[in-house]
Amino acid sequence: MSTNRGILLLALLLASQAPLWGRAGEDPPAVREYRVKAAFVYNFLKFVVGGRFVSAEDDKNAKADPNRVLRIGVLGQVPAREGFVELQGKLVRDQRLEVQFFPGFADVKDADQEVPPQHPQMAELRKCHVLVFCPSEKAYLAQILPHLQKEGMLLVGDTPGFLEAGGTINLVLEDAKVRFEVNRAAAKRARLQIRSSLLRLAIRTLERDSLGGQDHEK
Amino acid sequence: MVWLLVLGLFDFAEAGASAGTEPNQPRAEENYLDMSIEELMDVSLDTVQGASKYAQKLRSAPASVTIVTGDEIRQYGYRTLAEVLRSVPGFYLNYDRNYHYLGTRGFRRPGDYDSRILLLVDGHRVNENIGGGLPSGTHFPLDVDLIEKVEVIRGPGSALYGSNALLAVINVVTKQGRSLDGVELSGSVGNLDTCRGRVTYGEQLREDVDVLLSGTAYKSGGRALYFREFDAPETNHGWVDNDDDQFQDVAARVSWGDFSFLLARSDREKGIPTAPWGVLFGDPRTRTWDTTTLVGLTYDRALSETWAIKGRVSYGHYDYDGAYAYDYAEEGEDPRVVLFQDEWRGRWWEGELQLVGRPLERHTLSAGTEVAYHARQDQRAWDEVVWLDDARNSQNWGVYVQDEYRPWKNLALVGGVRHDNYDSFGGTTNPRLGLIYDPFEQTTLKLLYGTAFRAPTAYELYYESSTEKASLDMEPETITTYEAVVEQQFTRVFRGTVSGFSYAMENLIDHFLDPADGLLVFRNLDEVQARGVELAVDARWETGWQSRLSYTYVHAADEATGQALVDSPKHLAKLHILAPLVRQRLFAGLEILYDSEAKTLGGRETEEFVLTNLTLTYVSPARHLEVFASVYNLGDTHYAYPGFGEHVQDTIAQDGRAYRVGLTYRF
Repeated sequence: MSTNRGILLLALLLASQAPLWGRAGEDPPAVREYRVKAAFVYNFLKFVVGGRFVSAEDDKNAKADPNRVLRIGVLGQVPAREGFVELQGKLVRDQRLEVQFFPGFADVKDADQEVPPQHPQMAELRKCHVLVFCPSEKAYLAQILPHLQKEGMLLVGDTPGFLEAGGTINLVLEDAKVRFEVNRAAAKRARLQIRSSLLRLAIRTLERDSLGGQDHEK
Repeated sequence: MVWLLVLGLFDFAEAGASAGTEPNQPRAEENYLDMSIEELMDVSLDTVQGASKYAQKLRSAPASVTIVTGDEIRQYGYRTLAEVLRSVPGFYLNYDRNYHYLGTRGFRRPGDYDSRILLLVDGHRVNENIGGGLPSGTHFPLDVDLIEKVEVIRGPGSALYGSNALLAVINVVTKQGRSLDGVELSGSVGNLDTCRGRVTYGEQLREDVDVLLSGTAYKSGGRALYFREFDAPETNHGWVDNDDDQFQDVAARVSWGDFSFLLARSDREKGIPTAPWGVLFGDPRTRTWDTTTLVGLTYDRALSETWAIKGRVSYGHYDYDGAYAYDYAEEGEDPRVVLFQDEWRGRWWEGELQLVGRPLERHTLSAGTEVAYHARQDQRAWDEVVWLDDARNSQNWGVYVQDEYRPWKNLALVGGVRHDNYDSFGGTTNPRLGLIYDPFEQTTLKLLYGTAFRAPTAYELYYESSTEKASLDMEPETITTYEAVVEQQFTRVFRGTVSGFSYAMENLIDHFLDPADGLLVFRNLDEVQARGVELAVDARWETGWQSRLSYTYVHAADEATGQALVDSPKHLAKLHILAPLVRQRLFAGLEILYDSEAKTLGGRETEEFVLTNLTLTYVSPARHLEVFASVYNLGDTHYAYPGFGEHVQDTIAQDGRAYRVGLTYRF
């Protein structure tokens, strides 16, 4: 046994002499989870047309404006930023991704420690093509989602009840794997067309939500 | 010899890297942005906490690990932690109709309270401090419905956890309130007058506050049992009706920012139908009461980008009370029934402080210290006179350090060591070494070495009776384990695991009849050698079907006699199939278990058997309602486990076919 141990020690020694390559360690679990979730968001962009995105027609003719940027806003306390930072500068249909992080509602309390009725950067938020809601925003969804319904934006969430509150796509963890569900009523209000090849993979599609009455306002 | 391979692997890795691959690029599987949605949906975020005391990918854990999820527990209809663990490759059960016991990789000793396996709930030690035993049957202090997942980490764990972690470390992770998001009512009924009810409330109250509260009550009348060994007119022709079992559990889990609090308590009462230790056959006063309470507080905080600190305090409380009805009448006298009673009172405090960090590139370092104060380790036994009244307290502490070094992305070297010190025997030091290498993207190879120990228990050191005497100087039991594991992903559906292992146990504590005074005494006596192989194929189809097929072969023998061990089935095979009959709505969970013959204390063998359990679960569209129905031992197989020294029975028959139906409602 002692010889075996000796050989292992030697092996360890050799390893410590070896050239040092690669990144340090493996990703902590939260980083991995949000890198995967960010990759989902990145993929969604390939399946959505209409609204603020290229029209179905332009998409078919590959007529995207190469100077345009696709703005991704991340709202609230993101458990790990790395994944979204990786999206910065990536191209989707020749459009460059720009990622912007916004403080969540809980972080923008006023002097009386009250959460303001409206997000102070609402104008900036409205400029995004995609708005990702972090779990920290769960309590404030009813405050913000109704105001973003007709902006042609893709509203992506990461919280139970996100679709019911008017979000478009919600990411959920099932069996330690990331899945997603789609609110078709919200997509319709935003004039977004979500390709059937994406809808087919959703674990659930919602036809009506709490803002359902607005379906008919058009 | 195994380690010679190590050198070869280094050469291989080096050659691969210098031959123009791009070592600076993360491996392909981690370029998530290049993956399609289907591929991303396949990325498993499964982590294991218990293998290194920090979360890591299963693939990177320096051990052979199996995870059983809460969904699987529901969908396969498991009622106890013992049933959950029986589904895990290499594990098997024994049930003496009082307590459930676990065997793994061919090792289970009659009379052992499962003190060679370490059980944790959310990182807190559950094994009690008198016999070292763990509760896995109906006296496990947590309702299995509250389990998020069970991590089963095979092999020696003393390099991180200290005593008891000889064969495996089992870490039960409890659910958080947010997974319920409301109130859940669950009730079930079964044959043998069995019923069970549970109320659970869980919610994320604020962004950083999560609460779960739960209570469970269970009662089973038990079946009328026949024991051939007692088939005589004066013992009711071998029939008894005192197999009743009941328990009440309460649990609370609260997390608030960096703190999380756990309370789990169970009170259990069980009739003993087997008439052990020569008690009166069929007397309903012969029974045991077990109360287990675990209270734990954990603090987990990132100090900086590179360092995190974890603090842990726990309090454990274990009360055992036994009543055994004897007839003390002399031959020819009228019956004179006397209750012999014994009790254990265990109370212990534990504190742990751990630092995890990445002080250097490519290194993940974990270091900590643990102290335990056993405020009470009391044993009492009496009938008309007091036989034993032994009150003790003791202390032990340990320090440990582990480093995971990743010279390359696809290679990790893990080295760890822990030193423990006990009042009773002094110090012991246990190392672990692991090499985890991914030669190909879909292949992982693990070479593992480690030692572990089990401190002599208070029961072994201090128990005295008219036939037994205390044994004050004993050494810890030890184990040395070597294991090689290959994990291979075939296509996206199948994953195969092959593991070869060998272990040697020394100084195993056993009863010895001292010829000087004719009294039994515990001594460090036995040595055991075992070798085995474990194979498993896991499959997950896109349609939602899942399956696992596993097989374990072990040869475990007593070193002195060369004889096979008692209660050590050589072959175990398990098949699990989870079928979504209607997508997201109706599931069928089928479990088929095979145990080969096992030697008994009487020198005979139990019969091999195949057990089949089937559970159907219906989930309503909004997931408010869940209806479940199970049939256990579908084929009504007659099977038995080896009895222990206190039993007249050489084998103890187990339950035939049983049913359970129930529903769970959430609002």
